[in-house]
Amino acid sequence: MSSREAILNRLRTYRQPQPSQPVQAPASAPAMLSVAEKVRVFTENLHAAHAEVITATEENWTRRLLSVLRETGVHSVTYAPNTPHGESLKSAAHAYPELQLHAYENNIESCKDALFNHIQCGFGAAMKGVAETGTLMVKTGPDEPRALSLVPPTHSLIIHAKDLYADLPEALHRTQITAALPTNLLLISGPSKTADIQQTLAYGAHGPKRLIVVLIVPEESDHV
Amino acid sequence: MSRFEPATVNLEFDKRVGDALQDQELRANFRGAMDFLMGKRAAMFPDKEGLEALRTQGEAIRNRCLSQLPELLEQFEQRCTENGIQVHWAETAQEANAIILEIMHKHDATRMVKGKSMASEEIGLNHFLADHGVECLETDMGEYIVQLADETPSHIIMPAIHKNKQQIARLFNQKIDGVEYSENVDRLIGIGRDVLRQKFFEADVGLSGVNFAVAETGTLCLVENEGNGRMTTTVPPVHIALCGIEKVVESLRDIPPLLKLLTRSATGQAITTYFNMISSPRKPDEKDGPKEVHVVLLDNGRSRMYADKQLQQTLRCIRCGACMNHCPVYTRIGGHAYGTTYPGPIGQVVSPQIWGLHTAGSITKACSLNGACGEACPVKIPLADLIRRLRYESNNSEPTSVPAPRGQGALRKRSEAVTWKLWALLLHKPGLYALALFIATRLRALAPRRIGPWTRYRSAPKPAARSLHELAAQRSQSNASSQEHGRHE
Repeated sequence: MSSREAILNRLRTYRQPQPSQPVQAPASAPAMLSVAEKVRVFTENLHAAHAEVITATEENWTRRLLSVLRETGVHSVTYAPNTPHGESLKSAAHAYPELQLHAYENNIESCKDALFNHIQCGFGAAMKGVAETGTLMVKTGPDEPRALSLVPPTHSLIIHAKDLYADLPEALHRTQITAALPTNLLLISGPSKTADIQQTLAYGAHGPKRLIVVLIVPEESDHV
Repeated sequence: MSRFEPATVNLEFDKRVGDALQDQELRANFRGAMDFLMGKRAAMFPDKEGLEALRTQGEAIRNRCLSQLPELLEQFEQRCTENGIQVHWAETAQEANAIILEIMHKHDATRMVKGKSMASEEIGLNHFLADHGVECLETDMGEYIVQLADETPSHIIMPAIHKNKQQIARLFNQKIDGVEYSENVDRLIGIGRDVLRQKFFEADVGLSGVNFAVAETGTLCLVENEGNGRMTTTVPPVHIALCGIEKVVESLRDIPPLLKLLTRSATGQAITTYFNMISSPRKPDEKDGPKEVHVVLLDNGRSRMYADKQLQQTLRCIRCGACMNHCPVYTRIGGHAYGTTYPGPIGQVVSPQIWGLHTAGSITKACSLNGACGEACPVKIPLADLIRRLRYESNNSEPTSVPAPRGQGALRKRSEAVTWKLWALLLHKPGLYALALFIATRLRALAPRRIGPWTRYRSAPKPAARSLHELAAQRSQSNASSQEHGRHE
């Protein structure tokens, strides 16, 4: 008998009848938040997690992001080509001659060294956000390589206010994503961190030390 | 202790506890850490009713999933296979190690990076692979520190919690080439980051644990803050996930409440930095990620726990560590004193069931049955009840209808058994009891002055000159006679 059969047989033989315990409703019903409230809570939580948030509009986000990068000495950025956000960044970058943009278009095997040792920032997109925890849901795939949000010391990503949800169950269930999960679905809630040395918080344990979130709101004046 | 040696758990337990209690630095480190973690958790659950509702929900989810465990495991296997993930089954630690080594051999792999996995500690993977010429490097900062010091984790969530920053500064200075002594935590973490980045870059295989395995979608979920789990499961060309068979949940809907309970109970965080859900290897149009993903489903005693209605509750555990953070004994003796991979209350329940009561049953002694662990447990495992049950089983040798815990009756002592038999006899026979009392009180001068460890710090008990029974009888007699007297006057 294979180990598989042996294990499953034992489990079937000794299964215990469970008292039928109805699963109770979550502790609190999901809050019905307006977009403005979700933006506020989301931003507060990201700030608390040591992330930076740039609130901008469709028109001005590239300028705002690129000046933040320039001011903080970030000169090399990799991005996912053939994506709307990637192309916008690329066209805006002409005004920033010192910035080197690298399209993440080859397999990691051919760009591993650059990714690990030279590129300072990865730029991608989040498909959804969760206000309650300040969480960004990133669906990796051909247009969103996994290492983009992991290996360079700074990670920046764009999210639209309309894609914010009150809490995680809502974000997971109000979408079709659960029908077919991508290779890797990520929830990111801040820069990499650790408290493994005497409970002292330190950022940039293995992943990005900085997380810069570009939050696109319909009208900047409403939310700043 | 540099490696987990099951043979020493029972044999050297008392000595380890004694040593730990004498170590003031160790005790200060644990006291500080546990107070910190308890405070963080409490701040996350300000509303008691909300917490209770969430715990009830967590318990119900885990119970439902366990009641369908064989079906869910089959469904999980099927979905994984459809997604391109290869599934392996291991009944024992040896088998799991052999499967992992075979995968390494198939790829001519000699360098493994590891994300945090208590199951890999449980099966002794690091030493097994080292013995077979594989470099196996821990990448969680705490695990890395512990491996560098040639120790084992002392806490399931914060492995290096027994060390303070001065000790870690000395360790880095001694063990890593060209590192100067520094107590600056950012600097220390930076050193670890630099060393381990190179290892991620070079590794052939990444090994991780699994926090939840979703049957509905064939998804492996990993919870972490550092990003080493993502590195391990993203950069090397092969990813192996080691997963206890109890980790399976039915659907994605089960994840949010369990995740909420896990991170809040463990480190007092609303959510961790990363929640990583892996459902397949790299697809042809994708640019990165491992080309091969394997899951090793590990039994190693879990199906035996499943057989017993009460002990099955052990399998609800989501490995948050809150029970140890709230345990007054763990706080004082620390994780290494237990001598097993899993310390603290959940360790006292899991370890004797994995390695047998004959090997690890003694650690159930390290409990005052105060119940703080069960009150903190996010899935309401009645830990004190289970510890008491295992104490009972270590002395019990009566046959049971289902497979009993391994090593049942192994800690039974003849002298102790005879003493209890006599005691029961005395309490059943009033005449005999009175006679024994009479003898004990009349021969009280002969009571022993030294009775083993009891009299090391205490004086020996001495029977009174007259038993309470006798005194009461005397008193009622004298009362009766004085009343008699009064009536005559």
